[in-house]
Amino acid sequence: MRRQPGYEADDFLAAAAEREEAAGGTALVATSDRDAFQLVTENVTVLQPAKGGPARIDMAEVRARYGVDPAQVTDFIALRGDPSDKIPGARGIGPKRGAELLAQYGSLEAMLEEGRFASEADALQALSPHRDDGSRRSTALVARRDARLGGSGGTRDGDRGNSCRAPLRGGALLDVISHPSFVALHVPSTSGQRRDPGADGASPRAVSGLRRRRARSRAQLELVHDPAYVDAIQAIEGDVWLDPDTYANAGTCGAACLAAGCAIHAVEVGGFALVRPPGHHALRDAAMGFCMFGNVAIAARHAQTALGIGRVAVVDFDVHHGNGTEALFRDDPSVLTVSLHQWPFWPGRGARDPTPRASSTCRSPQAGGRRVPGRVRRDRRALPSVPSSRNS
Amino acid sequence: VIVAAGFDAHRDDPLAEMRVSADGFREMARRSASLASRTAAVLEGGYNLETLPGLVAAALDGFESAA
Repeated sequence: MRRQPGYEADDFLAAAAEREEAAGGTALVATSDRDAFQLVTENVTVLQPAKGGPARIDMAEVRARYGVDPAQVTDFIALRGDPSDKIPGARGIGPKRGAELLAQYGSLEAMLEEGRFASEADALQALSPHRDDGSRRSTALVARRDARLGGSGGTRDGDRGNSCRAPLRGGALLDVISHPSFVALHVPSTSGQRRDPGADGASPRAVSGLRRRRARSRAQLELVHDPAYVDAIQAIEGDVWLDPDTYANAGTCGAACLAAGCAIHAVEVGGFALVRPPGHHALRDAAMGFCMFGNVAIAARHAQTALGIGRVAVVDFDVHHGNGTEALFRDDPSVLTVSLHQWPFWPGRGARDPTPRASSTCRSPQAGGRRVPGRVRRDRRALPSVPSSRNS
Repeated sequence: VIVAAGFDAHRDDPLAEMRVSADGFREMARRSASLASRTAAVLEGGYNLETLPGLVAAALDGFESAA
C-alpha cells in the first residue's frame, strides 16, 4: 500500500504504467475507474471489471466507446460531464457532440482559444475538473503520473519532493511541461530519440492539466516558418528522411506541433518544456538535424507578440550550434541568440562570428574535449552580453 | 531568457566530445536563469538516454536556484 498526500490510487497506477512503458514494457491496468482510459497507449491496456469477465480497453476500444483518442479522454469527460465524480460537463454538450468537437479542435484548450464556448462561465465550468488546486483533488481528471513509486528508478528524484511544481525563485514556480504522446508519435528508427525524456523517473513532474499542449493555430507555427513548409510537414504520411539525419513519419507533425505548443506554454508560465523533436536547427523553410519546427524561436516570437515582452534572449547550451534559431533572428535586434557549442563540429556554421556586436548573434565556440563550465567562466564574450538586452 | 537546453555536451553523450558534468549543467542553467527576470527552457538534444533524466533534473535544480 502506498500513500502520498494529494494523490489517488489511480495516480500510482498511472505512474507505474508509464514507468513500465518507458522501460520498454507493456502494462495492464486493472481498475473500474473509467478515467483510467486516458492511460491507454499502444503498450498500456486497461482491464475493466465487467459482467462475464474483465473487458480489455485498448486504443481501438477507447475510440469505439468514446469516439476520441485516449489522450483526449479527460477533455471528453470534462465536456460530457460525469455525475459520479460531480463533474457538471459543458452546458448543452453530450457525449456525441463532445467527441465531434474534440475531433474538430483536438482539445478543450483549443476550443477555449477558438472561443468555442458561449460564455466564459461555460468555459470555466468545462475546465473546472482540470484544476489542480487541492480542494478539487477528488474530481481532478488528469492522472498524476509523478506519484512516487517504490523500487529503483521511480524514487531517484524523491528527495526533490513530490510536488509537480517546484519553487523557482521568490515563490515563483517552475512547471515541467511534457506529454506522454511524445513516446508514440515520433519514433525514429536509428537516432537516440526513442523515449520521452521526462518519462523515466528522474524528472517525473509533468504537471497535471498541462499535458496536452499543442500548437493549435497555424499562426503560431507561421510566426517563424513559411506556410508552404508547414503544409509539407503536415502532409507527411509515411516514413521519410527530410535530410540525412532527420527521420519523419505520419506522427511527426503531431509530435512537432506538441513540442512547439509545450515551448509556447513554457514561456507563458515560466516552465521547462521536455519535448522531442528538438527545434534549434529548424530553418524557416526546412527541417534539419532532427528538428521540424523551431520550438524556441516560436516561443520567443510568442513572448513578443502575445505576452508583450519586447526583447528576448535565447541562451543555447546544446553541444551543436543553434543555427536555426540564430538564422531566424539574425537580422532582428529584439531577439539576441547566444549559442555555446562544440567547434569545429556539425552543422558547420558555428565559428566565432566576426561581427558579433553588429548583430543580434553571439557564438561561443568551444573546442571538443574541454570542460565547458570552466571555459565558459572565462568567456566574457558570451553570457555577459545578455544583460544589456535586459528588458523583460 | 529562453534557454535552449541540450544535454549532449555531457561527457557520456554519444554524439559529441565535450565533457560537461551534471554539475556543469546545473551551473549553466543557474547562470542562464539569473540573466533576466523571466526564464523558460525547452529541451533540445541529449542522446544518452541513461544519463538524460539526471541531467534534466540537475538543470531544473539550477533554474530553481537562480535567485
